[in-house]
Amino acid sequence: MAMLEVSNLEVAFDTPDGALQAVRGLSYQLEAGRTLGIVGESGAGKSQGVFALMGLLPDNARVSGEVMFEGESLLNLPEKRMNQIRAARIGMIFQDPMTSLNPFMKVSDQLIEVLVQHKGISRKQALQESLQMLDAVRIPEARNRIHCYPHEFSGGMRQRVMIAMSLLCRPRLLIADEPTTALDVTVQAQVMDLLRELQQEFNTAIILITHDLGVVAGSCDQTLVMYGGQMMEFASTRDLFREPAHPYTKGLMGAIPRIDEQMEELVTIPGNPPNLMNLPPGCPFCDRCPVAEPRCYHELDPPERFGAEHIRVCNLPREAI
Amino acid sequence: MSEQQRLLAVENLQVTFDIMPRNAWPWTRPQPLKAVNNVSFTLNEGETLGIVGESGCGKSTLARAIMGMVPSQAGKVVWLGENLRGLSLKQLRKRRQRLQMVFQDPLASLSPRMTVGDIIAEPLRTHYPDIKGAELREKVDAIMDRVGLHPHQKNRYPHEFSGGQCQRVGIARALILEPKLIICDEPVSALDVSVQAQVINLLKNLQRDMGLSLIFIAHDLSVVKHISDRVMVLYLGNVAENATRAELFANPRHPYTQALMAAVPIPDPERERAKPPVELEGDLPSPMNPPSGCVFRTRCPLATEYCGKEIPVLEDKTGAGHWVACHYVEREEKLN
Amino acid sequence: MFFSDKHAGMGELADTLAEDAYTEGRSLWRDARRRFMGHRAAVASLLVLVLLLLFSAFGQFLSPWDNESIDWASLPNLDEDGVPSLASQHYFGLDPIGRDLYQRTVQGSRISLMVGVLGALTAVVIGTLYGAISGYVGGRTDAIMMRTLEVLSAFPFMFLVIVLMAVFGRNVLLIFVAIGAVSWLNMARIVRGQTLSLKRKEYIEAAMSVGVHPLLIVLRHIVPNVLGVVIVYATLLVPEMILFESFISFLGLGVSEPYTSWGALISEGADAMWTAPWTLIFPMLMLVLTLFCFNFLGDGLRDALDPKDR
Repeated sequence: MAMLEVSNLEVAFDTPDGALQAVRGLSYQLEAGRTLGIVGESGAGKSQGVFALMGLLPDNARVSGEVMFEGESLLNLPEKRMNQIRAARIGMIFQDPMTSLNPFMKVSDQLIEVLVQHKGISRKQALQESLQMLDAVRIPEARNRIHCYPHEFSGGMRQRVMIAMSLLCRPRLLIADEPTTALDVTVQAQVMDLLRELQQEFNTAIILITHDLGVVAGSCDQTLVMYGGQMMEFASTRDLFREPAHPYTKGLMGAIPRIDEQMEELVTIPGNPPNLMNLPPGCPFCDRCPVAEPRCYHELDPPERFGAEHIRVCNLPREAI
Repeated sequence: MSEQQRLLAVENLQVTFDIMPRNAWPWTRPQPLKAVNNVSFTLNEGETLGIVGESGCGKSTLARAIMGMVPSQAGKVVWLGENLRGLSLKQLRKRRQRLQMVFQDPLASLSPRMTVGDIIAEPLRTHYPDIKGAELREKVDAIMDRVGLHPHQKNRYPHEFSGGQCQRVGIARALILEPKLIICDEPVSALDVSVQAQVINLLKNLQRDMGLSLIFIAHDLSVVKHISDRVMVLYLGNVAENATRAELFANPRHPYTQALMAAVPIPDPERERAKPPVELEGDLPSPMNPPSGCVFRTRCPLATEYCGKEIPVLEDKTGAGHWVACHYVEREEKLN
Repeated sequence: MFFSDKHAGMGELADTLAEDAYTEGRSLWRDARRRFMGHRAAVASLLVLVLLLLFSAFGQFLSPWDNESIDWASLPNLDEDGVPSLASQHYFGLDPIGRDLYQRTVQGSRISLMVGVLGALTAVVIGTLYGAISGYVGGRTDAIMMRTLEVLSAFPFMFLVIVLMAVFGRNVLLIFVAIGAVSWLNMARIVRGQTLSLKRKEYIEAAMSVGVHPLLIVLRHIVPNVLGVVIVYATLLVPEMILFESFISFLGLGVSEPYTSWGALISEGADAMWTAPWTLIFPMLMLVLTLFCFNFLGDGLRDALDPKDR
């Protein structure tokens, strides 16, 4: 059995203007030690879909479906049990490290607190382990810098501190929500390299949420493409890039300016990202799809499986794309 | 000089901010922060200059200094043969008719309590108060149509539009005075990938049809590659390299440019994974306290002791318009 | 291509539909109004305040008495004949020297509300412009304007008013001047703070880059965007001003006879509260009701205009 199994996940938010369907019928699996990339634009529901399994959504969210993590159902778990799982077995890193680092506490105290609370070791031992972890994420002069406050670190270093903190309890799964979006390219490359190495060292599975297909290409085993709250395509990263089988995936790939090739005109996807308040009953992408048929506005076929673990959700046959 | 008209020449521009150190007394001397240091470049009519660099390299400050929105301390900004530095605010405002700007955050750059039509019309109202009523409406409609917005949406407010549409409004506002140059400060970095491509293509088409010049600022080399004729790489307020697009991407000479290129992720698993790991270690040094000599030496894989002593000069070593500021390139050539 | 045709067709359709009628936008003000309407207490307060305003404007026509003449018939036995009664048409009873309290309350409401609204209005106009200009221009101008403000707010205006009253006698105009002088100080500070943060917004930069005149930037871009905060603060300022006036009047330094205000009425009523409690109760009820309503209104406006909600 896979380590993480998500089936038929639905997330909706109650807003003053009506219900907002953020995620619809999302299903996927993740094996231990593997990396899953979830790609999509704003409004694709990629973050909400993952926050839902962690029980991190605001109060006006309604979640349904099933999430099995190492044989335990995560939805509707009591808050206390969820906290234990969050701290010890699932780590999280966010786009903005300051959301999970306390600006008024020294980094050392924050790291030690996590360890003392969840592993029950002494402060002295905890400090030793924290230092080892900061070394592992390659923070220079960790011995001196561990006693600094978060704002005294640069953006890239702060992200490393957060990675260190999320790995302290050796989680089995690490959820990274746009971990490098706020960073410069050179720093992004360092952080992604680091994540890859740490994954091998600690054998952690990673869910990487991003909008950047380049980042996915570099570090994910499998990739899930989302649009308008729904899965559009799921495949091993190699297959997805070699033969994208969904018009949206294809459009995305044509729209990225590439540094390794000379392109004359970028292929664009016309229109704008969807408004989740009034999605069409059929395919969410139909408005912008170059090959949409009239029936795409009303209905959407169930996922089609083919090849090695390649799944696509599209009404049109593969040859027509 | 070439047959094309020289539009803008920036010579040794320097922008310094006074920063009060922490725990300072009111009479403490502020510390200077060199945001832009001796930057020079030229821009011809119809040309696009891409400016690339990481956060804190001074690219946005440079744009604002050219516009005269941030005071510069030394150097020249020669616009159509006239130095803009030292002009009064009133004179500058007049010049800004031909010199417009597009901003990074599409929604934040539009006044939230004005309708889109009013926002687009504002430059016209400012510079041509005589244009009123039907004539004004016609002009606004025409420009909205030109950037791909429906004119009947002009009574709507910015928050009713998506990011890409807001950026189109921003572009329409910059275009309505028929400027010669538009400075785009990271116009697509806040947009979704699919919308990014729309805006890039729009800018390219506008440039071709209207004979515009663009200064296109970005942190993303691949975007700049797509749109620029020349590319200038900035690092910590200094020009590292300046060359034509083809030359720069085929033959990057400054080690920083090389590292920057290597760091861009390629959306192709095979190529991306075959790439060597990035050599660049560490973080950007503080601009308050830049390294001596070459500012890049603290992260440079090629740095030697000499780099700490001597500031490299931006030189066109090949004579083909490929400017590089690096001791190493020079030494390499001497060795040969 | 099939698809581009489809889109072009739809675009044309939209164009023909909207040839004359431009789509109406949904402004932030309209959003705020919708949110405000959802706040029941605030809407009710607004209603009560409108009634109060009508009362102070037209209330005098509901009673045959006037606010100056003394009811000689009831004067000898005030404790019994002066009680509020519909029969004698002294709805609120008589005051300690036999004048109709209803008419005096109507007249006092007029002064009190006027003081409150005028004070808030001065604050809005002077305070907003002063604060916006100081914040927008910045640098030395800002420093000078802010130091001036600090000197002014350190000045004991209450004391000055008392001295002026003692020298020139009691005068409504003086009260307005005194209240106007203090009311805008805090407003200017609040607006300046807002302006400083707005100044860094890109749309201000955009206006600058277009070449808009600084004064127009302040009026067109900054003022409308601080107006939300200003309105909330102004509604909360009205009761403060009313209280300020009441306080001066309570000290016996407010408006001069035959005019009166809530503060003056309460002061008179407090003296007579053991023998004629109604002389205290009615003006006090009016004052408390007004203060409550303005506070609820401010609360509702804050919820409606708070940018956090957007």
